[in-house]
Amino acid sequence: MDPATILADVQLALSIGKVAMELAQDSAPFLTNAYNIAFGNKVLTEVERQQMRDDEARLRKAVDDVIAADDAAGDA
Amino acid sequence: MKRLILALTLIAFAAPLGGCFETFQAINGFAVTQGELDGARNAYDGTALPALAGYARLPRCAKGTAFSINNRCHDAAILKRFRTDDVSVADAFNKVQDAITSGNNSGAIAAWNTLQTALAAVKKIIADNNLTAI
Repeated sequence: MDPATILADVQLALSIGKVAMELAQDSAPFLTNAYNIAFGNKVLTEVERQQMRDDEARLRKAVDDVIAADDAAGDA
Repeated sequence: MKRLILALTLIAFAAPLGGCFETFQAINGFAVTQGELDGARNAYDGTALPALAGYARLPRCAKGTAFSINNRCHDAAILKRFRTDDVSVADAFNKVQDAITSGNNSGAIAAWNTLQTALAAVKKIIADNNLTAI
């Protein structure tokens, strides 16, 4: 294996790791809630429910911003 | 007097029967509780929604290329369709919540069924485009 191939594999692994970390950060609060509701008989308070909605809105706004940027850029 | 006894007997039986009916609905999945909704919504928010956001964060695919493990990019058209399906899911969750808040169980059941259809569309777009590999 030549150094360039090794470097490319390392870069790919790092990019996948970065995405995985971001996914985990996005998922964690929701999945913690889902687990506690399913297995801990947790009942969400209205404050927690509002936090959930705020977190949803934050993620969706980020997606909408990308879609708007794609539209503005036209065909790739 | 007989009518009064009959009425009291009917009331005495009606209350437990009402409870039985609610239990029957729950067993058969015909009642939607706030806990079930919160659990389902958080499960969706913790799986499909981060996948959507993660896909959007990837750079845009060059023309004629598609997402793969070695070509990590997002297709604008797929992202838009994914988001459209996500809007349907979010609307359905909100409708179930509104029905539960207003005590409209039949409305909650109808909205829950709509939600299942919307979730199936999201699952399909994830599977069809290999987005589980995000």
